Amino acid sequence: MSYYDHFAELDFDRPYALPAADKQRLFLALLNELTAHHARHSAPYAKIIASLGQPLVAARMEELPFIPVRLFKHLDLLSVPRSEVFKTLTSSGTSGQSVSKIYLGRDNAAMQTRILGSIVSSFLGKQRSPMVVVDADNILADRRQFNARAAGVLGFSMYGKDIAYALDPDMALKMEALEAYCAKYRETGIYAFGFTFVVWKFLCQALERSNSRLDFGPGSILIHGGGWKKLADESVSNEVFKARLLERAGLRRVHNYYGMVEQTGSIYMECEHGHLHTSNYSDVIVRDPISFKPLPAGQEGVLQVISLLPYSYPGHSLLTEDVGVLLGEDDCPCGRMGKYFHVHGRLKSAEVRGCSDVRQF
Amino acid sequence: MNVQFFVPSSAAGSDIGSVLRGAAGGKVLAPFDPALVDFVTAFGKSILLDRESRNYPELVVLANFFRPANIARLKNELAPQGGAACLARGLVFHIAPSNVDSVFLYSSLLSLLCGNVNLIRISRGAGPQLAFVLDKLARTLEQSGLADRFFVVTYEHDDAITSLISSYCHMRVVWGGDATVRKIRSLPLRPTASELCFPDRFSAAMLRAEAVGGLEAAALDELCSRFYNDAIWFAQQACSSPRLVAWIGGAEECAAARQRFWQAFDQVLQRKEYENTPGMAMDRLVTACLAATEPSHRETAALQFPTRILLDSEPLAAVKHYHCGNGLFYEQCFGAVPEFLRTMTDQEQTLSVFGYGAQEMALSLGELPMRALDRITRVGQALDFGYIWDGCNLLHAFTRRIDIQL
Repeated sequence: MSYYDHFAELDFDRPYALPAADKQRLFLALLNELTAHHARHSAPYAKIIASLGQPLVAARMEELPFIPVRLFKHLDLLSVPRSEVFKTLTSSGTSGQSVSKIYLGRDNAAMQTRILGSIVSSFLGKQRSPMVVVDADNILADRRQFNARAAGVLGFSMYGKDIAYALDPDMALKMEALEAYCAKYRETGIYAFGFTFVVWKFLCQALERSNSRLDFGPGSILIHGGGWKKLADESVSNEVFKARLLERAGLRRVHNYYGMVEQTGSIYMECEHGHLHTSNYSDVIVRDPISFKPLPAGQEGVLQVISLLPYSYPGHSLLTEDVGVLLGEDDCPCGRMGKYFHVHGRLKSAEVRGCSDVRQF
Repeated sequence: MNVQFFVPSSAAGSDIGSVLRGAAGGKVLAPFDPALVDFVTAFGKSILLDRESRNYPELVVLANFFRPANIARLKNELAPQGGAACLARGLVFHIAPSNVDSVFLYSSLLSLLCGNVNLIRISRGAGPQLAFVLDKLARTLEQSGLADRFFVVTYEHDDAITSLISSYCHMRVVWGGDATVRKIRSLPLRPTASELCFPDRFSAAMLRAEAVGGLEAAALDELCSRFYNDAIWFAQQACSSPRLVAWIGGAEECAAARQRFWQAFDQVLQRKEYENTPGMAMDRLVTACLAATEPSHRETAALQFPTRILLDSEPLAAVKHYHCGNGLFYEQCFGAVPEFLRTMTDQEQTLSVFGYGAQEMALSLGELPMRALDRITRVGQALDFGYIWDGCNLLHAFTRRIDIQL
């Protein structure tokens, strides 16, 4: 029996259906299996969790071993033979030069696609909708720049049809084409996808600058992700983001998602009440940013993200450098089961001082 | 070219080209010319007299370093020997680290005392401590009549500007990480100019297990307090702050001394208010994880503050580069001093020592690999500045000798 056979217990059509008690039972069994697998097949991973004094078998979710997500920038972490690596995902992080390397086996990559589909479809519906990608129309053409953004566009494009790109290669809004597209599909319901800052800068602000409007229609939905940092720098809140997009582009339902290349697939979607949700495939624990002890709901800390998906690399339990707060579990007014939370931003990195500096002159 | 002058205030809005032409066409002053000594003393005094300086302990230390009695001692160090006259080098270009630390002030003020004209490049947007220092410098300079000998500027990283200044100066002093030093070194100097570089360094404390084991409680507490000053003051970011603690003695002796020392150190920590931010905690965790993957890793003895990682007694190699400061110590145990010294490289700068005397240490230095180690101090003095830095006598470096054989 292969690891992913366990997923048969879960209903792909209902990715937010597991109540806490069932989830804890299933997750502990699967995650302990993953920990054992990774410790057996990744020597660095085994050494790391042994050195941290973390138990190999967790009796409670809080005991599950975790490693800092930054390690993927420094170490080659994989739990399958290199010959079984089907593709390698990379991402440049905020720390600049170093890049995360995520090694995917064929099964693992396929399951990422499947779970992403399960989650996204629960918002979009089963039928493929006409889709607008808010990005440059050549983003998939240039394979040399096939980065995390392009991978995201490709991944999310699987749930749309008759795909139109909102921007030209210079990131300018293709106004006429978009107007025609909206006119054609307004009543059908348009699915738009883009990276948060691209949507903000090249769709919303571009419309505002030219004092023009679009109407994606009453059935429209926007899914966006990739981080708030650039918008937070401009003090743009989620509420402002949504209000201005509604006003300028007529985008009715706007859903952010939180996710990272280290746990592709099991993303955390924002519900109708503005809460990010764990799914049947993911969990989150908020930890004290100094002692790393688990924190109850309502207290801000660093986020530990847990995913059932990572099998070819030891990424099932990661301590991120994102700060957030747990809001509750199984009782969000949207009706979805699972924990729901907010992300507040990045951990403030330690100051570099003294006579050596790390910034390039 | 967009160069902004902070100091002197009269230079605000000046053109860098004309300042450089003026500076290079000027004259040097005699080392320790009374006007220079008066200026530096007045600058130090202006820091100490301002109550705000209490917020900046490192500036108080700086001001004390430039008190009149110590300047007189420095002057003696440079007293002419034989028939050679001692003159300043000329125009000295100082490049300060991006997170400005007081250390660049030491070198630029020493250079000024030696009679040079100085141009110092600092990074933009540094904090209140720098604003405080710049204000004191500007005011003191205005009253001293030396405004054409000490310029503090900033500009965005721009090779053209750095090259222009480098083409005028007679000496370049670079403080910064290895990447900065490499970058600046690629930009040519005048053929006759000299250069001093202060790149990334690594420092250690060496404790004699037997001596630590034999300390009375009060003396142990004092040792731990001094060690705290060396290591925790600037979150271990100073290049002379110990990041490794090497224990010398038998295996059991070392184990007992380690336990005793860190227990006493925890007591000291409880009395202090030290910086321990979430960013620092995350950096320590990452370092602990990376170190655990190295073959030399023996055990992660403590994960909280300070994080302690015991390593085999072999050269640190890659694990050294994982160290990020922020309250993390590598520990190693060695049977004898030479065994430890032999593991060093050209990265090692300061060794702060407890339990060994100067003579004993001097006898062991023959064990050092080439270019290893620049400085040996007592525990508690690792951060003290000396005019001999990174193995170089700055007073000599900032002057030249004209040999007169008549």
